[in-house]
Amino acid sequence: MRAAFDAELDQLRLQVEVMAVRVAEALGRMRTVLNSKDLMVAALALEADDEIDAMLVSLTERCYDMLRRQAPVASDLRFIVSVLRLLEELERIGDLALRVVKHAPELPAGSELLRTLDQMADIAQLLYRTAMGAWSAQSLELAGKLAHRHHAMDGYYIRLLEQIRRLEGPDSIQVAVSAVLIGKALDRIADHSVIVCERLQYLLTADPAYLASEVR
Amino acid sequence: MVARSATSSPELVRRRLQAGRFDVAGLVFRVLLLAALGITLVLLVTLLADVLSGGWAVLAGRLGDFLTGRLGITPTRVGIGQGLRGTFFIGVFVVLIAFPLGVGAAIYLEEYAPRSRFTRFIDVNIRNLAGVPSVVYGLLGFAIFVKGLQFLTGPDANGATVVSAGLTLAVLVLPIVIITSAEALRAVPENLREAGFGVGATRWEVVRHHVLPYATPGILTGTVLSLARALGEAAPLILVGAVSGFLTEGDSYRLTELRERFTAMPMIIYTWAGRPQAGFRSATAAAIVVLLVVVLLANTVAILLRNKYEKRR
Amino acid sequence: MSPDAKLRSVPATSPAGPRLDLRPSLTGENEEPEGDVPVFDVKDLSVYYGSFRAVRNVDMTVCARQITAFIGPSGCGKTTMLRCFNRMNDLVEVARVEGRILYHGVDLYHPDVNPVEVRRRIGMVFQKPNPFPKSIWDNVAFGPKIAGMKGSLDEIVERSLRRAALWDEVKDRLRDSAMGLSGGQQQRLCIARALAVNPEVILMDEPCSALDPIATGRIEDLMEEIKSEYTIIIVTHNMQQAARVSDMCAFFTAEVNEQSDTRTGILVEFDKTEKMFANPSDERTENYVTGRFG
Repeated sequence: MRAAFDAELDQLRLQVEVMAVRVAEALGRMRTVLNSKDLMVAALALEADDEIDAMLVSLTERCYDMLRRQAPVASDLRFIVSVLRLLEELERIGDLALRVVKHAPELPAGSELLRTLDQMADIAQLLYRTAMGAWSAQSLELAGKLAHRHHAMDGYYIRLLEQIRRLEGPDSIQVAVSAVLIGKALDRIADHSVIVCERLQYLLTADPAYLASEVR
Repeated sequence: MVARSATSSPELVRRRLQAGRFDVAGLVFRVLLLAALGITLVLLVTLLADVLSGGWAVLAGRLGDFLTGRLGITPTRVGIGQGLRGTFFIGVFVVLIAFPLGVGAAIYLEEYAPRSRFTRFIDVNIRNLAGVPSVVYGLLGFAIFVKGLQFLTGPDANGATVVSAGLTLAVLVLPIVIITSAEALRAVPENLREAGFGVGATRWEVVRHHVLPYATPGILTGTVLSLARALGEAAPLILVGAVSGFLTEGDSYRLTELRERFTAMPMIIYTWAGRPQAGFRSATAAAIVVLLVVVLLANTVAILLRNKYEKRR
Repeated sequence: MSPDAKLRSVPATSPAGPRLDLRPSLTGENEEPEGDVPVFDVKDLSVYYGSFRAVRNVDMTVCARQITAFIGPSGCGKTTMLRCFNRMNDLVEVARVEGRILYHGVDLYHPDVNPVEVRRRIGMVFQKPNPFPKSIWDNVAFGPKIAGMKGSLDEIVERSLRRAALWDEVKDRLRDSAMGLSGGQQQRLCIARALAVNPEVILMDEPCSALDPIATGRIEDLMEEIKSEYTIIIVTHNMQQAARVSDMCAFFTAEVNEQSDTRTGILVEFDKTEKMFANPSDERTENYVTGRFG
């Protein structure tokens, strides 16, 4: 019954995965630029972000269309509403990755800041991969794992601030600002990944407590 | 999708729509039906024409005398006054006895009695009774009303009175009244009853305020048709002992004289038809016309009443 | 849950007049903690038509001044269940009820209970509008007249028609035949007719299924308005309607009996409507409300 609707839901799931892959690629590109300052990759990242934004728009429209036509209830409704939020989170993560790409060239090559930031980027990528893995598998267990891992980011952020304080030289303020911007962006990427997991937990348990997550 | 483009030209479409298979069977059937209707009409018209032309002399010539006259042996002086009286009282008996009993029984069977093998058995038996020949009812009436209940029906006339005839004919049409009333009640939609019960009416209130008014047209049609039948039956009258030759009294409408000898229209017609004198040909025809008029009047009353109640619906 | 439900105490006399008071004298114990006053207590109810069991082992509690919806696929006994509440099943000769339905503590099927009195307190609106083939006024006045209700019949008719949101449309033609009204108007007339005898409960058997969407919307609005004074139980095939209109929802489905190749209705889940449509406990309910089965 409702084979057409089931097919639409499957299509939506698929497209969301595609978007998630694009964002994963964006995170990969972000790390490359952070480490190598490759301008070609940076240009690619710019273009790719437009694609992600376009996907947000078209998939959101598709969700609204399904709400209008199919009047979903119960788990169907929770799924579509969760997807709507997920799409925004993904788009936000893509934007943040782009921000890192934009500011990365401003940091001097080889500095300890870069190493710290790279480690933070590594954590961000890992959290993102775990979140999307949990989503693909629709696994409550994987989603629950994310909470404590996030704290690792805090440690690196503190180290970053210490390194910034030790900066000297005429460009130190500029570098400091860039570093903070990049650090904050990476931190937010981690936060958004956690929100993705909480939304998944809401989808699977229907417990409204999971709706209250915010970006710190 | 393949065939569409090939047939979409307007010319082709028009030709296809205008073509038709020639319906041979349908045409033959129509012709046969018309023939059946035609034959029936021809028969009826012939009957009426024959009767009217036969009795015209009497009806046109001496209508008043004919309607008020008495039985006799002279064709030019006989009248059907006594017959009209007898028929009138028989009608009264049927209306007063068969209608209430019949409609009441139908209401009980349809609205109150639980559906069981016993009620179905009763139903079947009533239907059978409706098909019993009127001669049998005549015999029954003779045995019970004329002979058995003679003290009630008229000891002075050996029980061969209007009372006996009326009772016999009431019994004759009773099954028909029950059946037609039951059909009319069965035709009442169930959701009307449910609506009545739904607001907290008792079964009697539902029957009285909703079922009966709805079924009235059907019941009326059935009851008046059975009255028309009762007025035309001859066999029971013969067996009960309606007078055929000569009757001194029997033309007053006083109730006390109900328990005297009597006659009625069908009896008169039957008797006069058997007499050899030429004058009785036209007298019989005239009597038939009068009886037809009476039956027509009864049917008209039925239709008027039914229309009145149907409009109220 | 309205806050003044706790303040409102259950009245001690029957609302339908002095005729017969089914309810025993009431004490404050009837107030449940949340202020939900139970009206019907169904205990292990089964309905048989002859030897065929149409519905089995239903347990539920219907509370006052709420709309309770019965949903489920065709042929699962929802209408049969509904008609038990006002003993309309009595009209079917072979129908038999086992188990009990308590109305304010009184067993509705007790031999001493008069079904006519039951139906005065528990009214019904049917699937296809069935006004009497009489005038509008006569339709509404019939119930109160035979119940011997006190007060002017004209007032009762006007009050009922106003309650049913029909007064303005018919006030100038009360003597016209009810059969001249549109479908939606006829159904509202049937609601007015049911309200006229001042029942406590109104049972509705798919009241909107024969109506167009605008007429349906009006009747749903009507239900919302009168909810504060009446307890309503509605059978509906329209799930959006159940989700929109009801406070509690009962989902029935049909079990297939292998040997006899018949279907018997069972109550699968009975809970707050929000829960039934947001996150039902039983998988069968989930499958039905999302349209995957039914």
